[in-house]
Amino acid sequence: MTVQQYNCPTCGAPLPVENRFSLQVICSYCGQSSRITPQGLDPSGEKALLADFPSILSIGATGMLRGTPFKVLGMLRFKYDGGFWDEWFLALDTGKKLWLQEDEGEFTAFEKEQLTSPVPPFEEMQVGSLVPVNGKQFFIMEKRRAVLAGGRGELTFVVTPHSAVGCVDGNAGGILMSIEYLPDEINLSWGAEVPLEELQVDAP
Amino acid sequence: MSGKFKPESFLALGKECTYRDVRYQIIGRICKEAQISEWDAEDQRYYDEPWSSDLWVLVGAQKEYLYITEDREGYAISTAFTPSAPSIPPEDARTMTLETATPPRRILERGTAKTVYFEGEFTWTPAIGDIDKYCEYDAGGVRYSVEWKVSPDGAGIEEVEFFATRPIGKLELAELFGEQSILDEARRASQHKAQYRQWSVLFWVAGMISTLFAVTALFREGTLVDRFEIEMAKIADTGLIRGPFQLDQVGRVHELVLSTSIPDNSEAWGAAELLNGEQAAINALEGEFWRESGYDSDGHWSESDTTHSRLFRLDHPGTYYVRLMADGASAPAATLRFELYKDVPLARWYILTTLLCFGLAVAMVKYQSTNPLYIVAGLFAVGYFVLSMLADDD
Repeated sequence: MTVQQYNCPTCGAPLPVENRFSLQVICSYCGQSSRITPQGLDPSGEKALLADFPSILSIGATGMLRGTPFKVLGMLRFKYDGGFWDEWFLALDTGKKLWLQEDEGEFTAFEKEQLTSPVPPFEEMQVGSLVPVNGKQFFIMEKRRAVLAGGRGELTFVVTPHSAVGCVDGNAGGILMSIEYLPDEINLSWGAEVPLEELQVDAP
Repeated sequence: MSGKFKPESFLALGKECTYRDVRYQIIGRICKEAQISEWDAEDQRYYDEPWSSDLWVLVGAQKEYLYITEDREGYAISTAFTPSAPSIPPEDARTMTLETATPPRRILERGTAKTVYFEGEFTWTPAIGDIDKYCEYDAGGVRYSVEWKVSPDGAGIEEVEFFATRPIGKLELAELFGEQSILDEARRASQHKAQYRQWSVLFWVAGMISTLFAVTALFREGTLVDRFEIEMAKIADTGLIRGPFQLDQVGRVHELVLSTSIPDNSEAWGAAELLNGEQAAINALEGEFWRESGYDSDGHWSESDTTHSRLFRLDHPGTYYVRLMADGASAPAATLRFELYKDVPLARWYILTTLLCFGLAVAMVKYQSTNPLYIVAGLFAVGYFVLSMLADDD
C-alpha cells in the first residue's frame, strides 16, 4: 500500500494517507479535518477533537478480521442522547474496504450497498415494524438521531463534523442492516456481528 | 444506597468472573419491578403476578457484554443475539419464534418492567421509570426473548433487543466468580446432606425390614404345642388337666388361647391355668364367652365374644401343665377349645419400630438434619427391632 505523507496544516502532525480514493483526512492530534486536493491538504473543514475512549482499534492499527489482514485507516464518531458509537474504516488486504461499527463494545462489520428502491423517510420509520428494503423485510430495532461528532484518519468521502445524521438499525433475516440518513444522501449497509475471536488486533 | 434495593446475593459492583474463557467485571446493576404474565403448563393458562429482579451488567476485557439476571427463582446469564426472524409478538399472541428454523413456541412469559433503581456504570443512560417490555419462549433449554424499550410518552418503541438466556445455578455462578466461601459452604452442606441421606437410607431400610417382619408376625401364629377341644359340660368342677408339656424356651413368647363354639343367645365361662411341674398355678386366663343375635329396625344382628388369649413368657424351662375349667350351665352344647403355642411372634413391636424408622427417615429428609437426637432415636428403634427379633418380649 502506497503511503502519501502529509502534515496537518493546522498543527503540523504527520498525516499519512494510504488509500488513493480518500478524499478527507482528519488529524488525530488536533481534530482538524482537511480535504485532500492535488495541491495538498485544504484545512477548510471543521475542527473536532475527540475524546480518547478505550478501544482495541486505533488509526493505523493492523490485525486480522475473520482471517483477513486489515489496517485501520479512519474513524468516525457519532453521538446521540444515550451515548456514542464509533465506525472504523478498514482497508482489507483483499483490497476491500469496510466499516466496523463499535457500539457498547460490540463490533459489526458493514458493507455499503446501493439502495435499489426508495425507503421511507426517517420520520416514518417505526421501531418494531417491518419495512421492505432492497427486496428484504427489514425489522427496525433502533432508530436514533445522532450528530457526527468528528473523526480521525482518512475517509473516502467528505464529512462535516457536527452535522446531523438519522440512523435506523435493524435486522433482515438474521443479517444486520443500517440506514444512515445524511443531509444529502441515504446510505444502506449490510452487516454481521463480529465476535471478538474473529477480530485480532496486532500489538502496537 | 436505599436498603430496599440492596443486592440480595454475593454479586456486587466490581466483582470479576470468568465465563467461557473471558474475564468479566460487574460494572452496573439495574433493579426492575415488573408485572408479568407467566404460562402455567399444568393449568394451561397464564397467571399474572408482580415480579422484581436485578439486572447485573458485566463488561469483558475487550468490552464484551454479559448480563446476569437475579430474581427469586435464581440466576440466568443472557447474551444478545441476532435472530433470523425478528419480531414483536402482538399482545394477544400465545406463540412466537425468533428463528426461521424454529416453529412457533408457546410464549412462556411476557411482562412490563420498570426501572426503579440503578447503580454503577453503563454504556447507555438508564433512568428511573424506564419501561421495558419483553416476551420469551423456550427452545432447547434456552430462553429466547425480545425486549423493547417503550418511549417515555408510551406511544412508541425506542429500541428492540434480542437475548438468549440460560439459567445458571448459584454454585455454578459462585464458581465463575471464584467465591470460595460460598463453595466451601456448599461443600459442607453437601457433606451434611450426604450424611443425613445415609442415615435416612439406613432408617428406610430398617423400616422396610421391620415392616416385613411385622406383616409376617401378623399372619403367623407361632408353633402349636397342644390343641384340645371338649364339651364344657364334660369338664369337672375341679378342672381338666392337660399335659405335661415340655417348654424350654425361656424369654420367648408363648400363648394360651381359649375359644368356644357356643349356641346363639347363650353364655359360658372358661378358664385355663398354667401350672408348673408341681402343678401350682403360675398364670391364668379366664373369660366370659357369649353369643347373641336378634332383629331390630336394621334387620338381623349378631354379636359374640368367643375367644380369649394370653401371652406369657417362661422364667424357667421345664414341664408344664394346663388346667381347663368351665361353667357352661347356660349353654350345655357349648364346647371349649384350648390351644397352646410357643415361639409366638409379636407384630406390635415391629410396627412400632417401622413407624419410628420411617418417621425418622422422613424427618431427616424434611429437616435435612443429622440431629444426634434423631440418630440416637433411630438406633434405639433399630436396636429394639433386633431385640424384638431375638426375644419377642411381651
